[in-house]
Amino acid sequence: MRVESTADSGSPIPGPTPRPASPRQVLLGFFVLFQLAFLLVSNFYGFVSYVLPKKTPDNLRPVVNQAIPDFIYEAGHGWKWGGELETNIRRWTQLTGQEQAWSLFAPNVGEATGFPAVVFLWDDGLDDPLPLPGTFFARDEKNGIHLWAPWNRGGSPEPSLATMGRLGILGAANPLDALTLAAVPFAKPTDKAPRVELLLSRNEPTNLSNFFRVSNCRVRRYDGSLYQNLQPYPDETREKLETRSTKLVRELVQDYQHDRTLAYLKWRRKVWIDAHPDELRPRQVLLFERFMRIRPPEEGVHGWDPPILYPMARWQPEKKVDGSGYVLEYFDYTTKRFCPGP
Amino acid sequence: MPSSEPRSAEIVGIAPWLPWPFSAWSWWTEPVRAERLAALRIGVAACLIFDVAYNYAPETQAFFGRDGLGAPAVFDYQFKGPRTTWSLLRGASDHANLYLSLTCLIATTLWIVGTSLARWLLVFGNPQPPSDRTGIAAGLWIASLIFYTLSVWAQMLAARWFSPLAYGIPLVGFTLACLYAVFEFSTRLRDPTHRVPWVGTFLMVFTPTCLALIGLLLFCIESPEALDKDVWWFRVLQSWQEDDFLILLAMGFWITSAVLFLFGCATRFATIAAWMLSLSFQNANPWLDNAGDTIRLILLFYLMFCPCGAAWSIEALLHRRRGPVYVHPWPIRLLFVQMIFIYFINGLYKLLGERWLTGTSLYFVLADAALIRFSPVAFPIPVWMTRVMTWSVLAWEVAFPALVLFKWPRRLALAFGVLFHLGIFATMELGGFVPYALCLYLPLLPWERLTLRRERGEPLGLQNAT
Repeated sequence: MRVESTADSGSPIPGPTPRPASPRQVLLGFFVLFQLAFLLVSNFYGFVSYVLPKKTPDNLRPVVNQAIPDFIYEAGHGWKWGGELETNIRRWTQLTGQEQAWSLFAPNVGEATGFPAVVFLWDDGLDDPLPLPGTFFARDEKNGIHLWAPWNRGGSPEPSLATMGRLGILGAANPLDALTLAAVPFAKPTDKAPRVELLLSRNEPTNLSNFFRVSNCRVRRYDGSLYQNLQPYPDETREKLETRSTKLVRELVQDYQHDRTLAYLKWRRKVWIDAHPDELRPRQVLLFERFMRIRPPEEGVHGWDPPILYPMARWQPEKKVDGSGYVLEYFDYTTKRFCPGP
Repeated sequence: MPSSEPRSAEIVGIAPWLPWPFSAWSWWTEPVRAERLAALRIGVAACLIFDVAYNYAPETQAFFGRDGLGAPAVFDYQFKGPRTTWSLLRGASDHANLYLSLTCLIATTLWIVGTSLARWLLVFGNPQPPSDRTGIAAGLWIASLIFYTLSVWAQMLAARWFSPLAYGIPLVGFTLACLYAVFEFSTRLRDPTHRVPWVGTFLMVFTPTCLALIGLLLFCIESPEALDKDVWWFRVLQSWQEDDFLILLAMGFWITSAVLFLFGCATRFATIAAWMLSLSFQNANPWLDNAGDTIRLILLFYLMFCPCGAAWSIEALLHRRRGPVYVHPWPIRLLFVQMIFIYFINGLYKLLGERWLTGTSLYFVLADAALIRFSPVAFPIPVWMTRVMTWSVLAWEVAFPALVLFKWPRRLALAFGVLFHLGIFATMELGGFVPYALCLYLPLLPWERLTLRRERGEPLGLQNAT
């Protein structure tokens, strides 16, 4: 369409077309209206279906329930109709890639951080590799149950095992802790240690106190899918913490997450083998979380605590696979052993 | 010297039919200068080229290859029905791709044959709708037919049995193309002024003919089970992620489409290719991408449907447009609505977070060693400053829809938005999030002023500066 302009200043140009709208124009119009409706519904319904059931204050629940019966209990007509609507919207989202999940650092932000780390073991068939000789399990109120190991780069400096055991008793919070710590000096200190190699995430800075990051955002996203926070809740008992930690870690080797975790471990092993073609291949590949509690502003010191190790999963590349296809084992915090998934 | 002749303005693209109140609302109907869409196109393309070349291409095999983080088996669950997730990288053998190409083939067949039939029947109808054929429907029809035929062949290859469908499906396509040609020629006989799209019609007949011949050859293979799995055409029909060369080739296509998109060369084709490949790579390994990549897909999605190559492009040079060029504003308006939702919904979710209300959220975010650009141990940001930042971001996001209603608050809100994103860029490594989010602001700037000055023969600001 070519029309004369009254000026170059960019004022409105043509008058309305005398012709009827072509099929293309009608189709485009419907597309514009559909997109508007899509944006409106997907964003608001997503928010409402999250907020009303989870965040409605108890004193308002009866009132809200009168207006939209059973919705806040995730039941009833409204909830089911909404579910159908959301499913159809999701299909359009998947088809076109217009994900509408806008919640950057919201509603909550992480008060801890971490990186996945891979440990290679060249052992002589250790069924229960943890704790390895020279390492032990520790527990504290801030971080929960974790593995102290001398090869944990940048980890908290610990005295020798013997000293740790004796001094640790003094700081034990209860008799069970005291017994555990008292046993530390005898925790395989004289066993022959297998060869161990710790591989940090590619996204983890070498010097956590001073770095400047310009890449690895893609690796960070993948790393994030393996992240678990195993910090204890206030007043959580040891048994409950162990059970909860096991449940969280177990998720990493279940269903589709199994394949994703395995792909990560395979990739790290392949990269290492490509870089060390003449060396023996590791027999066990252990996945750890290098977890760091961020010091809250009340503590007055910026930064985070030294990284600690949460055992997560194990892969034995040379082990025979059963018919289920699951080859990863999760770490059971109750028994302190790797157990077959899922 | 400024020209004394009146310059003819041109509106490029299709005006959508919109009902009231949109039809009476100039914000939705008044054309805007094409430079605004062109700036958006160039911005998105530049970010895409950098993103692909820097973040993806060097790690193609590690991120998407068969032994990498995005090996096809890892994300199989994503492509199972009733999901509509798809990825071209999974090849013609993938069922999601097969059904999508079939759907597209049926839709374009109905569109092409239906409109040509209507034109034939209503050739002397009064008034006539405008003729606005671009040939894109024919292109989509041909691409869908090729992909669907390849998908059916891939299923047959997997079953080691070529049925008569190997050539039957292309023959159906041939029949439909002939039907379309008959309508076109009949219309021409009734109305000598009717323009027959000769090239499109020829390609629509020629393509299924070739496919039918190949299908017949495949059908004649006596022992399909003896076929060599390593021949190139066998690998092409399988998942491209299983083959090192093919996945690199796909990456090469992605970069090429982004370059064509940048320069506005075969812009529509380049934009569609860039969108399809962006979505294909994202779906092949969704655990690599963040909200910035979603914004990229949304931007490309809208740009596919609009004439973003109408200015500052090779296409525009070839058209030798002398006067100012305008486009219909709907993509810019939809993107602005999208922008409002991005900030507002973010703000609403933040209102539910205790740390946002107490003002300590950004303290923790800026201490997340996994994503920050520099260590807070070496460069600590005072807690009071993080509190001010937290509350100001919260207030800005929640108030964004109200602020953009009026001119000056809108300018302030948008300026704050730019600073907000630049602040994120300075403190966090989030890949393409900041550049892509800033692209949303590009069509809001008056880029036409640069062109207006040149059209009037005035020196540009940049030239003044130098």
